[in-house]
Amino acid sequence: MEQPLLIGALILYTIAFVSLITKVKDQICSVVIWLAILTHLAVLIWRSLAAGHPPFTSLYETILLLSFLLAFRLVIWRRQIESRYRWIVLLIIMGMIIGALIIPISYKTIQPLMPALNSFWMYLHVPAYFFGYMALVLAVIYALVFLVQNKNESSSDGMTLLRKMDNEVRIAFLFLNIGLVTGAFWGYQSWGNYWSWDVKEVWALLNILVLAFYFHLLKPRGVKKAVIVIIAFLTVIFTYFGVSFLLKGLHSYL
Amino acid sequence: MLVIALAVSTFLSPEAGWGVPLTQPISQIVRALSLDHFPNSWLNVVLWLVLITGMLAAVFLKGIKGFAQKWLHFWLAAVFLLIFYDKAFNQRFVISIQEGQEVNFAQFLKKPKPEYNIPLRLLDFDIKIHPDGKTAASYASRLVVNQTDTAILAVNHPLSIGKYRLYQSAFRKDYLFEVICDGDTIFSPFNGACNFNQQEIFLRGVDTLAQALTVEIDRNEYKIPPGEVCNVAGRQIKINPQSPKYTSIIEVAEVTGLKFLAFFSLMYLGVLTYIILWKKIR
Repeated sequence: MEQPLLIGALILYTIAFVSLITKVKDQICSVVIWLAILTHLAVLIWRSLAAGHPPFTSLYETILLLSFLLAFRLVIWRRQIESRYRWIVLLIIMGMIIGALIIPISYKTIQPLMPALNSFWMYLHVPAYFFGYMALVLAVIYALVFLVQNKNESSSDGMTLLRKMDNEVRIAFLFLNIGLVTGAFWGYQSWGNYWSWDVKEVWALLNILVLAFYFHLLKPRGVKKAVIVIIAFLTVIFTYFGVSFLLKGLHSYL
Repeated sequence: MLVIALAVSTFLSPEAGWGVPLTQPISQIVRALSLDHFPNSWLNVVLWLVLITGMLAAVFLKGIKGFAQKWLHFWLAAVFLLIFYDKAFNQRFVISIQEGQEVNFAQFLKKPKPEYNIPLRLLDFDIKIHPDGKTAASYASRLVVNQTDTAILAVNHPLSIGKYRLYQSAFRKDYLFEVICDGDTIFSPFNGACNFNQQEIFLRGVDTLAQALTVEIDRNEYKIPPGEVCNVAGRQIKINPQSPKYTSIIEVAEVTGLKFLAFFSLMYLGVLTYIILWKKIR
């Protein structure tokens, strides 16, 4: 049932995407996105019931979670994301769902929860991180649009883009910090160690240090800021995928 | 420099499996910068101390102007300092106790104190398995602390003894065998040596096809069905399998000063939230 629902959500997102780029009525587009989100939510609930825990513990589950958060953000804070950029967000959501559908079955199989993961902290640590990742995805969209369209930061368009990027980076920075601190508390409760220098921990710290550069620029120019956001996003991508596939550590839960 | 060193070191640690061959000239740079064990190296400590000093200097020497920003960096420096203190001065060790066994807590301490002369006995080890039959869903040790108090130590449910905290880290399942040789009895695990009058008998494993235990005597292997008396190498040997026993592996951490760490971290997050929501970061 999970896969048909996910395919249903993908079809609805695709319809919303097509209606956005063909400039069909805004209301129709909103209704289709809401239907897609409800179907997506049904997938997450179905998965949670089958696994006996929220969808926070494997690559497949977190891809579904992140794409859901992006879609949710698209409808909840609609005014923050201008309609001319919404199709990019939808495209990313569709790409993530396609990725979730085509990854090998072994990644989708429900794995028993390790005792250390069975903790109250999981409900804070994982959502905090993915909320931060969601904001960073939006920030990187603005950064790329700013760089690709070669916007001038003194123009109103350029300023709007930078202001929006700024807002998203601030949200991302806050939630990545919350994720790191709650993770440290969790580690202390599970292993008696706030900080183990595990590779995932190191890379999570690097994400924050790179984003900290953003706020410490002496001359915060648009291009510099956009480049830092892209670098931060690349480090997040490596933390999310690279660390799990290329390196070994305490957080290898794939 | 800290960011680059941290990033590179994650690939060069022995656990990462990306080691640099010793023959390459780059390995000298890796060693000189301690990048193969960077988290525990002097360079990492020095770089963090430089960062902390810089932050505190900026706070106190008016390098940071905003009031909230000053507090943000102050709490962050305090968090880093306490983590540094914890790594440098707090003791960590592992205690392994088999079911029924008793250990004295003080014997593991670097500086044993009379108040930690506390006997710990593992009454039993409780393990619940997932429906897949392989993965542990939860496990816990039932301990008798100081011969009077019974306490449960489980994953994510640590136990405090003074300024130390005990964590249920892992477990081991030990198979024990009663080895009777010419009337003498020794209890042994797999691969343990049973010394009977200077002749050693090793239990090497189970031959499931022959439904027998593999035993090594004088470098020769023999198959002995469990519970049966057999004439082997001129001796009468009988091996009775015992019910398996669990060994609880408990990690112990000294937690001096760590209550402040939780407080400092929460203060840092609180100030950060305030700045993000109401002010601009600069």
